[in-house]
Amino acid sequence: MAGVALQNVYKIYPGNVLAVKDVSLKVEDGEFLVLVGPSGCGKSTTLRMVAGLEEISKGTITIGNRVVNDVPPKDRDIAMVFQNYALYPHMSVWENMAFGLKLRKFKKDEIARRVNEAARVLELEDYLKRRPKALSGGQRQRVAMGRAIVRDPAVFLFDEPLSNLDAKMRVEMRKEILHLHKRIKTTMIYVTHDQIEAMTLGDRICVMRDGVIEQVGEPTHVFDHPSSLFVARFIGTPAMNIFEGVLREKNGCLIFDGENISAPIARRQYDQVQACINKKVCLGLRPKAFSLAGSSTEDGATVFTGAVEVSELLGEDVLAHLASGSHRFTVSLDSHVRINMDEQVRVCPNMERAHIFNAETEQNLTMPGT
Amino acid sequence: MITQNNTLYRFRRNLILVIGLCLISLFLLPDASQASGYVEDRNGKTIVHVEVVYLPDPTRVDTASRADVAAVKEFKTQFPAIFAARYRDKYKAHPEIYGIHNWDNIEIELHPFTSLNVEGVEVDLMAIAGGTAPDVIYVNFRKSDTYIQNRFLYPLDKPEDGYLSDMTEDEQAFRINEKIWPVIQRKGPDGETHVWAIPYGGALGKVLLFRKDLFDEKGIAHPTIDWTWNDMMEAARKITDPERGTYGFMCGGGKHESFNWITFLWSAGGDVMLYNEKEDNWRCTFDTPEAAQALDFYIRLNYEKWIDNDGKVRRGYTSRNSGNAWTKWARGEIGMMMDYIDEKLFSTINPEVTGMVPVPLGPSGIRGGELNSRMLGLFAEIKEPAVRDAAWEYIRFYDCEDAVAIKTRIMVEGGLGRFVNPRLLRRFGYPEIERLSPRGWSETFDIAIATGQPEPYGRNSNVAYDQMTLPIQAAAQLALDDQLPTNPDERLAVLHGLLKRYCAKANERMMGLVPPRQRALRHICASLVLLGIISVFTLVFRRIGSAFTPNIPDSPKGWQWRRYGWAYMLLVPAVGSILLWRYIPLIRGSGMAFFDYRIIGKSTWVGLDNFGDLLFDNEWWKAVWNSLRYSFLIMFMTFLPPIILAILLQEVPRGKILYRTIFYLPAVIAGLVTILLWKQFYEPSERGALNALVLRIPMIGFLLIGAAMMVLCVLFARRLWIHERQWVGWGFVAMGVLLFSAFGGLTLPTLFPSGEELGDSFVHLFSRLLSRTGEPFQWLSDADTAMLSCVLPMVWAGMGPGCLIYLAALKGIPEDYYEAADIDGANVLDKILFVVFPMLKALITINFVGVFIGSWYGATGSILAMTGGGANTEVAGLHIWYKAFTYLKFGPATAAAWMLGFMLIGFTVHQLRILSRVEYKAQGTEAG
Repeated sequence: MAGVALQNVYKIYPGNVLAVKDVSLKVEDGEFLVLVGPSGCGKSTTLRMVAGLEEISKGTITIGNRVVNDVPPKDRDIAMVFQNYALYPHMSVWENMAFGLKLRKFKKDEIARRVNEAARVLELEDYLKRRPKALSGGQRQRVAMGRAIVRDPAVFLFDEPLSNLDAKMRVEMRKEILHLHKRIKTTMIYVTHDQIEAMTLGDRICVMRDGVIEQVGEPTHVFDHPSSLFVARFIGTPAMNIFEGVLREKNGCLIFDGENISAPIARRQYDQVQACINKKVCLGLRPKAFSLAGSSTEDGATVFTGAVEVSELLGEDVLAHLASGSHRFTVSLDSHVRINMDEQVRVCPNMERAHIFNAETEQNLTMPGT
Repeated sequence: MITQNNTLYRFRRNLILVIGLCLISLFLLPDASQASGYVEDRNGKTIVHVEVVYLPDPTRVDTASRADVAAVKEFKTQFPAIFAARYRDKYKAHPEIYGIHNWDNIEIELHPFTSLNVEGVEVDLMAIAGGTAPDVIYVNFRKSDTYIQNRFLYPLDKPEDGYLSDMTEDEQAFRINEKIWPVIQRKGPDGETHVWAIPYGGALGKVLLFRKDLFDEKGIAHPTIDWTWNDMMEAARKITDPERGTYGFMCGGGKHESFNWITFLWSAGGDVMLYNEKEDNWRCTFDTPEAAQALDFYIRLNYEKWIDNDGKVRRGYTSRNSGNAWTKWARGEIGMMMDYIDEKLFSTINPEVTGMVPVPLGPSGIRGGELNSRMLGLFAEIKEPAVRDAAWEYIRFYDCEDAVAIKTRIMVEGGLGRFVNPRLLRRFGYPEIERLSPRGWSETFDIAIATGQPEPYGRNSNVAYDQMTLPIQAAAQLALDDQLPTNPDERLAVLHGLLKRYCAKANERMMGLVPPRQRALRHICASLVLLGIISVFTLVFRRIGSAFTPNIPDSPKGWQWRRYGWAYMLLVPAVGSILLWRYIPLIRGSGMAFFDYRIIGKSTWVGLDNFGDLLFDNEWWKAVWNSLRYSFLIMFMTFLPPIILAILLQEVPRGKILYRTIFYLPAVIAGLVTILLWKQFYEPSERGALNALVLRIPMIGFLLIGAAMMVLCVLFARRLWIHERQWVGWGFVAMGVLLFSAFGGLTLPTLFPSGEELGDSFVHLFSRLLSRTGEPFQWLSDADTAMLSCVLPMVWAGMGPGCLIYLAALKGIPEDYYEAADIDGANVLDKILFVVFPMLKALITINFVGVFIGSWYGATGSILAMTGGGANTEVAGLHIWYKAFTYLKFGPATAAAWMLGFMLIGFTVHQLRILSRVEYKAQGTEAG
């Protein structure tokens, strides 16, 4: 068992293509860290550098107390689960799981013990003699995990392991992976582009973009306090609504002034946004931060009005996609409210939950503690 | 179940149909023989078309060819007159025989006979068998008997034709040397004596040619008329310098090597075969003490061990690659050679450089030059009498006095008069030119003719040639293995023993008599084997049937014309062409196996005799064994290296395309060119590329290479054992040992020379390890290396294409697997064994079967060109080919071909079964 630390790690491909830029990250022993980001953001490359499948161009990677930059993958005491599982098609499930142990010259009874144990945990006992071809996607995934477990490594690496599964299976496997982590308490690094997976699995998540870490933190923290416009847009479904406008001061009050829209900034945020007065900013509001304006709404309250373009019924909630001038935004409302297409809807934003971003630096101005 | 029964029923019905067809076809023997000439009416004229072998080529501009062309042209002009004088009235009187044509206005058109050309092999036999024989065919002494016995030749002395009888005594004497009469006038197949062919270009005597420049350079006196064998050996020794590529003498190897030996046999006083008038048969007699003497001389000349100035071991004083003989001769790298002397030769050699003497005298003072002559005959199957008559007139005119006069004139006018046979110069009035001809040539020529003996022409003389080659090859192998005694008497005794053994065998073979009890036994064996074959066949068809019948329970019955009509229509061209070009010839030809098949005349039904004889034919089994050896080597060497190469190429970081091109390039070189190229590499001196390489590697190098390979194999084996693949692992160990012993074997003669005490060898072991081999390898004439040498060019040429296929497949293996293996802790060997190999398994299996079956058929051509079957490389296909086309034993040859086919069927079935299982999948998915 060991933690993993990346220090100022770069990956530069031939032709000076920067895939990973100055990444520093510390994964605690036993922690489940999820690397998340859109495709091409460098998350897989980072993981593969940890695994030793990619050379590290600059910086150091430490596993436990050992700098592993020049250690071959097999000696890094890691196990990896691949997106396509990479199960050897000509070997049975049992052989697939035992392969790594055989290569490491484990004793026969020890191999049998470990493989059987893993098979029991992963409920693969009935399929040990089968070839991967004869298994379902979920079973294959479990075999791939089994292959990692039997080795009892210090660090588990997952490279988008669930992306080849159907939605239902994905949910199922998510639970299993969580369960597994709880049981074996090994350090795990998990790469995904699916922010739901990231939110549900990670002790912490690390959002990456263009080879750079945007934000690292616990899922709720990242959700509640996205450090940048990018994180704000990326984390959360449906995504946060972003309105562009200018911050103005009017009668001692700070007001967000956009096209068709103007809203007062919450007082507690005044200090944080002071610097951006009369500058372009973005207002970020999650769909859940809106409520329907009704007859009880007091005069002078902030109201956004928009025409319903599409509404999606999700069960308890209904998502209404509204258009107001050039703004498009989504609000999440109670599902028993009837919403008709093209109808003008008036909604009140909860400005206490608003995020203000500097439009130039895209940084969140309203992060707590700043 | 019902449908299954139905399929089975249908399958049985088809099987019966096939067997029935086969049986019927047995009685439909192909009727191949026909001639090419015909009579054509064109614009009121009658044109007789005649196809002629060796028709002089008007596009060639050298004087000798122009002389021939002029003679032929003259013939064409004169033909109408000749026709009018000799044939017109007869033709007009008998339209029922000669047809109704305008016999007053007649012309002849001559067509050259063209066919593929293989050196040293009788291609005209293939033409005759294939039905494309010319009307005028070329006959030499050796094959004359085959031609006569097989009725290929039309008798020239039938009174009703008046061919030969129309020639005057003088004309006959001018043309036919009296020594040649017994060759052309012989008993035919029906026991009557006829004249079968007539010579042209006069008698050819064998003489010894020598390079004056080489002799002068070494300070050796030029050969004289009274030169003996010893003088010749002495001169050859002095001239030979393998390092420079010069050799004393030229001797070709191959199946007809005995051809070179005969001169020595005669000069020693021996003979090849004798005619027994009473029994009308020929017996081989090359087992006399004189023959042993000749063989001893021949073997010493070719294989005597000697040490050159650098201490390298050399063997013999001859260049043994007949392929580049003339190039080497022209470059002045060969001191002496024997050749027939005639006007052609006169005109192509430079008397300043090339000298000529009669063949040297043997130990008892006999001179046994060979006498030969080119001959022309009429093909027996000419159907049109007019064509036959015209063809005869061509033969007659081609070398008549008028024609020779024209040729002589052109030669003289072309400035080559002094090279013309002095006899002709005298005759046609150029005495002043006769004085110019090189000194001694005329004398040499006369001696050559006077002392010459006709080349063997008796019954089965072709067989005799082959059989006579066997003791020569056996003796050569003994010499190469240093197993011939050094004491001359003992050596003679050994050689005599060899000759006796092979002579007896040759006689047994030529008589071809099998005692009745033996015959009965062969019958029984043949029946049993055939029965086995038929049951195997049945089984095979069932297997194939079941493998390819999809197991769909509710498949609709019948052909479903409505639904699949178009599909069947689309199939017709493919099925039709395969039937027409493959199966019909196959089935029709297969019948030959049950006949004593003759191209012309009646074939007799012999039942299972051909199969029976084959089962007891040692040479056949030897050929099969050779095929197995070849096949094994091919498998081992053309099958594995591309995979290994592909894996290596996959790992190359840069310049993949460059490497791929380099490896692929040999494949674009045509097969025969590859072989000829390699023949140069194999030159048995350091001038050959391969020897040059090998001679630079010290002994320890070979041992290290061998050891490295063995270590690699053991490493593989160890990885395999870890994964409980015990047997495969041991296979790798065996392979390693084999490789090590192969490389180590090369060093044995140097490290432990034969005849040396083992202790002494160990004393020298250390210094010898660092030394290089003293002896260039005789790659193609040593039976130890010959087969391997035949395989190597195939490996070289096949590497690229094979590699590309595997490379493509390797690209299809997702990176993931390698990475997973990396993380699992696999090293390179593990990845090859447990990732790459299993992924390529389907491809490898298909390739394996393909290579195996291909090796049985592909061997024939390459080995024919490489060694001609010498040095124990005659593979089954080549054996069959020789059987059919040099011995005209089509029956036994077909039987052998069937046998070969049956042996391979097992593999074909295996292949089909694999093919029926393989799933073709797109790249990137798991291989099936």
